[in-house]
Amino acid sequence: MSGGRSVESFAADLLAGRRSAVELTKASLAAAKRTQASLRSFITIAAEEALAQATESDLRRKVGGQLGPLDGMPYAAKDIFQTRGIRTTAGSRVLEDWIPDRSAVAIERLADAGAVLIGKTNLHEFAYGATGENAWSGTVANPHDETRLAGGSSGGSAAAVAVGVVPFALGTDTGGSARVPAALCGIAGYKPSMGRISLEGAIPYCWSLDHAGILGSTAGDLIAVAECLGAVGVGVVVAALPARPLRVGLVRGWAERSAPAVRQGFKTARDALAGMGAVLCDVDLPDLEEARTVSLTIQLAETLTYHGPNLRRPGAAFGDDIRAGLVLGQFLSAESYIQCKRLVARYLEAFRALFDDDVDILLTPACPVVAPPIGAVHVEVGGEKMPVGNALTLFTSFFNLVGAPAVVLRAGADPAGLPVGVQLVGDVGADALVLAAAHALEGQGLGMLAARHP
Amino acid sequence: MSKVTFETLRALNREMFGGRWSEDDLRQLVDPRFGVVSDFESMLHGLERILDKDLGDLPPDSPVAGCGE
Repeated sequence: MSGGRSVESFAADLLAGRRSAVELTKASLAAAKRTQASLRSFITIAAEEALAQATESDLRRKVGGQLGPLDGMPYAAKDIFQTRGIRTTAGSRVLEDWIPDRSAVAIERLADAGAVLIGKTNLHEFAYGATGENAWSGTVANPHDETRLAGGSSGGSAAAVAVGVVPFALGTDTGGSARVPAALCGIAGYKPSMGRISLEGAIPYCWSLDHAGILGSTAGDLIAVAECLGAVGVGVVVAALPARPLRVGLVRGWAERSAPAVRQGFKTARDALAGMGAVLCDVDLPDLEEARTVSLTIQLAETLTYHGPNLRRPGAAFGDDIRAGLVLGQFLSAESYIQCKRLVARYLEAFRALFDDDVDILLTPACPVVAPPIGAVHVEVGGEKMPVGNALTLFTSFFNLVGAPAVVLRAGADPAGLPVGVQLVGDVGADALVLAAAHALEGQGLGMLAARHP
Repeated sequence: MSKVTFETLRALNREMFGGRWSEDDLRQLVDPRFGVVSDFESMLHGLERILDKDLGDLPPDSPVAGCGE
């Protein structure tokens, strides 16, 4: 998988004194700069600040005062999390010179744990869109094939992890924005239950659906970072799997709509779970097309509300594609918005009922297709031509509506070497179980595909 | 429901939204160039079906944030 690039291996190097925090940070900074021209993972590389943090970490370690497993660990954060003294643009020219005077809570928690922020990663402007295309900051390229999308909106975070610049990165996820790029880049991604990781101090896209996200090499990495951010305790995760066989729901029709390589990856994960003794059954979820319309209506209405005042600012320069979403939001009625919020209540009832009776977790494909070419407008899914953004989030956006925890893992690759991913989803609040199941599944051979990039 | 025309959008923009949007912005709604989200016409058709649903006295969703294990 990730060679020596996981949180676990970095922590072991630091603990054994094989490498210092400054050495690790210098190596990360060098890799970030070396890959920037081809991947465009970063908007800002914060070398000076990172080396100062790393120096402090090494001083703590010298006197036996290390703060925990992440002390001295380099990481990157999506440029939507505010960072005190470091430019925060949200991938938009609108904020190109903005230097916040405070940091987001998640950034503060990682700083308190000694983690070293090496830079702010590229994203779809203001997190609008799953393609990661950005006319201002550049479109993040996929480390497995630079002519293809890394996905979005947290594409820079995923590419930076996939290519080994950092062992983990922060993202956000409103309809799949952490999980989609994780799947397309062949790494692990975690969207916690809504509110489990604070988004205070992150620039909002859609208050009702925004979740934090963690991208890492392995499920173990996700667990380590999630614990630091207060989402789960490692002890709780270790004890989360039931003594009886795990009951796994397979959503009827989802795998069948996916590309052949994705179906094969799904089968690999399904067989691995069965090999672990899991009991598999088919389940149904509400109509995906309807849920997509519900999700988009809520997203576009809320993001227009947030960004509306900026539209009136002289010289405000939103990109063309987010403007197309904002103007669409303008022509949606209040009645539509409220009816969609009522349907969310209906979805939540139906979703939670699944876990009352039949299943502990769900297994789904993560995306129905492998990474599309940069610039593609439509892709074919199950014989249907679909906007790229809709296709990429087809199997992820429903779980933002219901606030459920989900983990994406790599489950193989297509003949060209492009990764495919699967998704594990749990009941709202069952984050530990989902992470434990992902960790167990990794033990069966699923996991990160090392990128070919130097 | 009939297809929304550019002229209708232009009039609504002028009369209801203070001319907030440029003609290029409005043109995206009738002739979309981006594949990030569903186009306007698909959204309206989808919403028409959603608004026809009788959800009884079901209120909008309530927050689920912070649910315990």
